[in-house]
Parts: sequence; structure tokens; C-alpha cells
Amino acid sequence: MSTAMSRREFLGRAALAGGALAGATVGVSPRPAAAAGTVNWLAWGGHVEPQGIKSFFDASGIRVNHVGMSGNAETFAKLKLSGASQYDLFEADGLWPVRYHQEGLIEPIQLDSIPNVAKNMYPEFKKIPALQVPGGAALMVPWGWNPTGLIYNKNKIKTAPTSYEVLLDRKYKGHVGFSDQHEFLWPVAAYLLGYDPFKMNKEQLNRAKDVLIQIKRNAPTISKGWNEQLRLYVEETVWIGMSSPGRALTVQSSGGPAMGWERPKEGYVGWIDGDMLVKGSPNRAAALAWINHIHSPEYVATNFQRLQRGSVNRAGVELLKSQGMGDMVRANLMDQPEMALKMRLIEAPANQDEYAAAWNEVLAAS
Amino acid sequence: MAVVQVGLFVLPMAIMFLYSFWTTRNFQIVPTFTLDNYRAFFESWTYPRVLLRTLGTAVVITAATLVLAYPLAYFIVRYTRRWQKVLLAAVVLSFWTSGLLRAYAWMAVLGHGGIINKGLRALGLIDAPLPFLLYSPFSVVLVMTYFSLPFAVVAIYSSLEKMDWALLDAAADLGARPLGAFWHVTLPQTLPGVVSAAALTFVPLVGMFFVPLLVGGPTSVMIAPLIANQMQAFQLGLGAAMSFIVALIVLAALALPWRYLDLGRLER
Repeated sequence: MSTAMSRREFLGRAALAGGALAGATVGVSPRPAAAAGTVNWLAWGGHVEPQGIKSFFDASGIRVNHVGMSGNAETFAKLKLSGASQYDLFEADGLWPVRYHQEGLIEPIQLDSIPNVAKNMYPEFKKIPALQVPGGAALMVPWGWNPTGLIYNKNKIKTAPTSYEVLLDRKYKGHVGFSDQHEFLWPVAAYLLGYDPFKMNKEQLNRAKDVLIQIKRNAPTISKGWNEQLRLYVEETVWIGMSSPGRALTVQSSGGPAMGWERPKEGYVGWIDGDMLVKGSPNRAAALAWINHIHSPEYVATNFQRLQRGSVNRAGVELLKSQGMGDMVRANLMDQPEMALKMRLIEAPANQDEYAAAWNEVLAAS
Repeated sequence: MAVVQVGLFVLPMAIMFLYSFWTTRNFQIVPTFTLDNYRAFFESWTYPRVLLRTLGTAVVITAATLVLAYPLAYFIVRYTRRWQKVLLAAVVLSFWTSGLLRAYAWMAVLGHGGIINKGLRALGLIDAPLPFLLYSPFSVVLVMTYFSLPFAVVAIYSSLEKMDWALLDAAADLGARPLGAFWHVTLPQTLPGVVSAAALTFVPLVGMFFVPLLVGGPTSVMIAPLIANQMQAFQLGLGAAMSFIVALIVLAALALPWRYLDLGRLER
């Protein structure tokens, strides 16, 4: 069953929001309307703009409760164990929405029924084949996207690397980035060996594991999260690793060396993330109103200026360009939405237990 | 109180114990009794090896902590009567800040671009950053000893505080040298505090998650992150079995001092 905000529901919310905003513009202090509901939003912290939540509340009276989420597998396990009914919206990336749909936890959404999504989103993201159900509804409202390629220090590595093999090169021992994000590391080994990154059997995993152990031996540490990686790139401990294109600019703007980003010839993975509507959400209209709000160009521009990654929102990207941030837009491929559909989207392997065991062997290896 | 005990401690442990005999398939718990999870732990050398590495690291850090904590606690009790409480408060002050922040602070001190390396380079003493300062066994031991020190100091302090110092005068009157008096009088009297300090240090170290990951090298991974990986991948059975194996070993390690040292007699 696909879910769209009914016209009446939407008009009601829009009138409320419009009235409050109009009031604000003519000098009437924006006062929250009578309690108009709550949206329980399980989302990555990076997507949250407190000012955006406040302005939404001021305009609509709808309170947004943000609950921080971590990885895909963890969130999936949690929602499967305890149910999703305590949330109205939650997030995922890659092909994880398909699993949520299979489990009956989400309701597909007609994207064009949400005005800001209909008006502002790049058309490419409205019809992602893998994330659609018959009838044209989408499993998730896309938000951001990123391919994962090779990021490198141009001062230390003079020739742009074109293959993952560079990560195995012993001359870079102690200078290769190795993170704890196995979703993005298995594909490196899989592509080098010619396997499907998310459908490796036990024997293939065993070979891929050996490749990752070799890469790990070139790393100074196993970094946790981007902030730690950023520090390692900035202080030039790490010269090369895996990351998204915009990170090259982030390293430079944080006082680090000139960085480059390349798409490896073997292939690459990436993700498109977004929000999903919980099936049977009691606050469905409020949740869709919130989705509409975050897809305004202002919210998008504020958020992506901070996030530095690809955006699905054309109007937000245009606003960033008009604010003189063309370099950032280009560095993050924000103006190349077609790139997003060329990536292999990350997904949950069916043999999760074998992947987890093999990853532990990678971590444990000396 | 019994309800609290059962609700907060016994019940969650019992559930996890039950899970350790079940498996999960495709994010679904399969409630069929099996020993597969315990077998999986010992089947490959991976987990026992990491557990041994963890226990070895914990023993080294516990020893380092005791070596530092004992003289510090002794100094506070014996020579700073007026400032005792202030000094003790200074020791526990670090608890007021998030452990994660303190770990990051150490990274800022020890890192390639950190205070020490920058200072040594500015003085012309080194050309390149010292590689062993961070992401090495040295940094793991250093930072985790720092984390453990307050626990140990407080435990040993409480033992030293109860000490009857007149016994040292008696030992001296009977011809004991200071070192002999310490060995035969002070240390036995404060052994319960030392054992408590060792336990308070050792147990959290075995389960320490974020510090070794942040300051350790790629080969310093300890057992806790491997358990966490299993849990995050929804392999609850194996994760639970690993936790119980670790818990049993820790319990055995804690039981040893009580078995071979007559601490009850010493406390009387």
C-alpha cells in the first residue's frame, strides 16, 4: 500500500504553517499553534538542523523528536526486535529500505504528493528502480548520496591512483586509511577479486578477508568515524584511503594538504539515504509535513553546507550555488545527479553471520 | 531490593545466557538449543587469540596501575594530612569529564601532529614524528593506565587510611629497616585494598571498548569490539556466548586472590 498525504491533511498543515510564517513576516511574534502533533524521527544526527526543527514548530505547532541512529544493521535489528511503532519516520541508506519493506515495517510514499519533494527534487531520484514498488511509490524519500572512491594526498602521491591495488602497495605502509566501516571495505576486496561485494560466499569471503588484512597492515590504525579520519588526513599520517569526493575539499579546508578523489577502475559502491514512513504511523500527516519542510531549499542548503555530500534536492543545490558555494557543489558532485545512479548501492548480505565472522577475523589479525 | 536485583541484573543476564544457546538466521532468532555459538568461539584461533591478547594487556595495565597507584595513595595518606581530601578529589576529578573526551585529549597529545611531537620537532630533537607514541601497544598501556589510576588510588587509599601506623614504629623498634617494615607490615595490612584495586582495574579493562580502538594500532583490537560487531550484525547468540566466556574467565581471575590469599583474615 502506498501512502500519500491526503490533500485535506496537507492543505490543513500548509495553511497552519503558512499562517504562522505570514504572521512572522508582518511582525507578529511567531507563536506555536496549539499542539498539532509530534513526529518521532529516528535519523542520523548529521541530518538534523535544530533551527529547522524550531522554525517548523513555530510554523506548524508540530514538535519533532529526534532520536539518533547508528548503522543500518543495528537499526534494522533494533526495529525488527522491538517494532517500529514508537517512530513515525526513520532512515536508512543503500538497499536497506527493500529489507524494511519486505518485513512490512514501512509504507511506500508517492513522492510527488509532497509539494517540496515534487518541486525541488532532481527527477533522477524520484524513480530509483531498486527503491520503487509497482504503482510508482518510493520506499524512501531520498535525501543525500555519495559514492565511495579513492581519496589521496596529492603532495605524497603524485600520480592519481586508478585502482584499489594502491591500498596494498607496501610503499604506503603506515599511511593507508582503514576504517571500521566494513560495508565500504568489503567492496574493495570484492572488486579486486572480481566478486559481487554483497553476495560473497564463505570461500570468497575468505579470500576477500586476506586482501583486507593486507590493507590493514598498511594502516596506522583502525579509524572510527570521519572526524578521526579527517584528523589523520590533515596531519598527513594517512595519505590514501576510501571516502566520498567532497571529503577532499573538507581536508583542504581544514588546513590539510591538497587532496584528490578518483573513481577506481574496478568499480565502486555508494549509498543514497533518506527517510521512510513507518507503516501505520499515528502521526502520518505530521511526518509528511516534516518531510515537506526538510525538502525546502533553505533546510537543504544549510544541511549540505555542513554535511558536504551529494544532495537529491536541485533547488537546495541551486541555492548553494547562488550563495557562492559553487566549488563545494562541484566537489561533492551535487550537480551531477546522474552519477548517483551509476553507483552500486550498498546492501545487507544474506549471509550476515559469515560477513560478521570474517570481519572479526580481519580486525583480529596481527 | 530483591526485585531490583532480579530485574536489573539477573533477568538481563539470564536472557543473554539463553540467547547464547540460540542462533539467528536472516535477522530472525531461531530458539533451538545448540552449542554452536560456544563451538564457534573455540573453532578458529581468532577469538581465543584476541581474548588472550586482551587478558595479557589487562594484566600489564593492572600491574602498571598498581605500581603507580600505591605510592600515590601512600603519599596522600602519609604525608599530606592537611591536603588529603583535596588531593584525593584531584585524583577523582577526571571522572567528571567524559571518557571519550579524555581519550581524544590523549590523541591530541600523542598524535603525529600532537603536542609532544610538535614540541620535540620545534626543539630540533626529531625530524619525523615518533611512531610509537600513538596507535601502538605503548599508547594503549599509557592511556588505559591513566583511565584505571583513579579507581586503584581510591581503593588503596581506603585501605591505607585504616592502617595502624604505630605498627611501623613497633617494627622499627624491633630492628626492621623501612623496606622490610613495608614488606612485612604495611603491604600485608593493605593487601585487601590492593586486591580490590586490581579487581577494579582488571575487570573494566577486559571489557574496554573505545580506548584501544581510538589509541591502539591496527593489531591492538581487543575482545569487546569483536563482541559488539556480532551484536551489531544481529548475531546475538554468538555475541552472548562470547560475553559469557569472557565473564567466566574474569570471574575465575577474580576468585583466585580470594582462594589463595586469606583476605578475610587480613581484614579482621
